[in-house]
Amino acid sequence: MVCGLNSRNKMKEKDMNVKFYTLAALLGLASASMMPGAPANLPKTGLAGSTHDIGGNGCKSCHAPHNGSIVNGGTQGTGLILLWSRSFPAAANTFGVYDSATMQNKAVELGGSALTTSSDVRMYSLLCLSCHDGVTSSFTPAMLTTHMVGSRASFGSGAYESLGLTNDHPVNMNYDPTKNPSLQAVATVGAALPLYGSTNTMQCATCHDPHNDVNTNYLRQANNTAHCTTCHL
Amino acid sequence: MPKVSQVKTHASLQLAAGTLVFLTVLTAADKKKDGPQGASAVNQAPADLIWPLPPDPPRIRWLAQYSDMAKVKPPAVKKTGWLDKITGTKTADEKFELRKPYGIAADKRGRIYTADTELKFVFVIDPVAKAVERREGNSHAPLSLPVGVAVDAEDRLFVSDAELHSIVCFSPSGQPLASFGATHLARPGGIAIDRQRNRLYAADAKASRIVVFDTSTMQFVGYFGSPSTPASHPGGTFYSPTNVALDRVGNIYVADTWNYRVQVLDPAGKFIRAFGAQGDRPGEFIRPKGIAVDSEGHVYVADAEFNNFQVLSPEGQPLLAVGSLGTDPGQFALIAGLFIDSKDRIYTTEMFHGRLQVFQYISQPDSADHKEVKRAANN
Repeated sequence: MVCGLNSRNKMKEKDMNVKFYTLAALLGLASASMMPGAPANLPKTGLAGSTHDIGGNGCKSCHAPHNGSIVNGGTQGTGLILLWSRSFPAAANTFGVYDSATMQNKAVELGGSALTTSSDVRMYSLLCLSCHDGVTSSFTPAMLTTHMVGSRASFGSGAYESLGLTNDHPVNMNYDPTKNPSLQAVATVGAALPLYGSTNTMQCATCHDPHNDVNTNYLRQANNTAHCTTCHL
Repeated sequence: MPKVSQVKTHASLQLAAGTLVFLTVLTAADKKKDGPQGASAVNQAPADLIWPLPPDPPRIRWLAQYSDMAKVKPPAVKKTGWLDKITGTKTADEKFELRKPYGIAADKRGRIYTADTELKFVFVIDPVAKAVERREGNSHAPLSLPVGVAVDAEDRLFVSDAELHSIVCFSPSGQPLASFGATHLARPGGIAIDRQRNRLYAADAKASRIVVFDTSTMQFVGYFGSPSTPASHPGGTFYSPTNVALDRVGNIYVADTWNYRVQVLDPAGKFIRAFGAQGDRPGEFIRPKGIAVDSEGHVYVADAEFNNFQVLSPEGQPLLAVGSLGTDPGQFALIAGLFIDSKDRIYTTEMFHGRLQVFQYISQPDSADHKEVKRAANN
C-alpha cells in the first residue's frame, strides 16, 4: 500500500495510511475490491499509486518543473536554444506551463491573449483535458473509460462557453445563484467544493480532486445525492 | 478477414453542391492590422504572420484557419421569399462546425481530412472547390471515436477509432469499405501510411506499441516496439504513444507521449534514435501529441500543454517554437493533431474550440543549418 506522494517519507506514509484506513472504514470501502491482488484502480488517498501517478512520475506529469536553469537562452552546447529564432527573448525560452492556485503570472508566461487574462480560470480544466482527450491515457481501464469526449454543453455562457461534456456535467461555467434560484448560495458551495476565479466558475476540479482517488473517480465527495445537493437545492 | 460492406450509404454527403458552403474563416490576406504575436511584436502590420520574427529569416508562415464552416458563407439563394427572410435561410447542417478535431491529413489534391472525436465523423474540406463533405461509418464499418486519419496513394481514407479499436477504410468516393484490426489494436490514436511500402502504422496508446497493417490487403503485419515500465524505458519501448509520422524515406517518428520523447524507427521497426525529455525548455515536451516531418526532414511536434508546435532537427535539436495558448491565428487551445503535406503545408487541429489551422514551411536554402539538416535527413 503506497499512500502519500513521497513514499520514502515513512512518517508521512504512516500518517497517510492511518488516514486512508480511517476513511476506508468510514466509507465502507473494505470490500472485495480492496483485497490483495485486486486490480490497480483501487480507491487511493494521495497521488502515489493512483492512475494520475503516471509512470510513477508523481507530480511531474501535470506540474512539470523547470528542467534545469536557463541562463540567457542557454547555449548551443546544451541543445536548448532555438537555432532558427535567435532573437527570441531569453525569458520566453521556457514555454511556461507550471500551474498552481496562484496562477497570476499565467498571462505573462504564455504570451497573453484573449483566452489568458491573468485571472482566466479556464486553464484549470484545460490541464485536465490535455490528457483526457480520448486517446492519451495511462494503462488503467479506469482512466481509459473516463475520457471526456461528450457533446457540446447545452449551457455555459458567453466567452466561458464550455465545449463537450453534455453527457456529463458541464464545466467552465459561472456558478451564479442569482440567475438560477434553485442553486445554493456561493458560500454554501464554497465550503464544500471549490469554485474558481472572481466569477466563481465551476471547473473539473470543483467536483474532482485530481490528487485524491479515495472516493473513486477522483470525486471530492462520494457519488451520491448529497454531492448533487451541494449545489442543487 | 476484414469486414466488407456492400451497403450504399450516405457517407459522402455532398452539401449544397455547386454553392459555397463555407469557407476559410480567415486567410492571411484578410488579416487585420492588430494581429497577434508576430504582427504586434514588430509594432507594425505585416501582410502575414511569420515565425521567427525579423531579423531572423522567416521559416513558418500562417496561411488559413477553418472552424465554423456553416456560418461563415451560407450558400447563395437565388430567390429569397418572405418566409426565408423571417425564418432565416437554412444554410447548412450545423454539424459542419468543427467540435473536437484530432487527427488531420491532406491528399494530393489538397483536400483536408480531419477526424472529429465528438461528432464521430471525418470532415473532408476542399479549399479549391470550396466544398465540405463528411465521411461517416455505417453498421458494417462503424465509427465511434475517430481519431487518426491517413490517405493512401489511391486517395482511400483510413480512420482509426480509439473506442472500437479498429481502422475503417473509405473508398475515394467516400464509401466505407471495411473495418479491420480490432483484434490487434487496443486504443489506436494517430496513424500514418507509407505509400511505397503499402504500410499503415497505428500508434496504440493502450498497448504501447506500433501496430502495422498492409493497406492493400488490410491484414495485420506485425507489432513494432513493446511497453516500457517506469523503471525501464530503453529505445524501442513506448508508454502511450499517441501519434506517428513518416519522413521521406519511410522512417517512423513516434510521439512517445508518456515518455515525453520522440522515437525514430526504421521501416523494419528497428530503433534508430530518441530525443526529448520532460521539461519546459525548447526541445523538451510535456504533452507531445501530433507529429510530422517536412520535406527537409525537420520534425514538428505539437504539445497540448505548451499549446505550440516545436520544429526540431532530425536529431532533436530545437529550431523554432510556433504558438502559445490562445484563440488568435497562430495560437492554439488544446492542440492535438499535426500533419505536413507534400508541399510542406503544416496542418494543426485544436480540440478546445474546434479549429484547424494551416501554415507553410519556408525553406531557407542559404541558411547555415540547411545543408546540415539535409545531410542528416538523407542519412
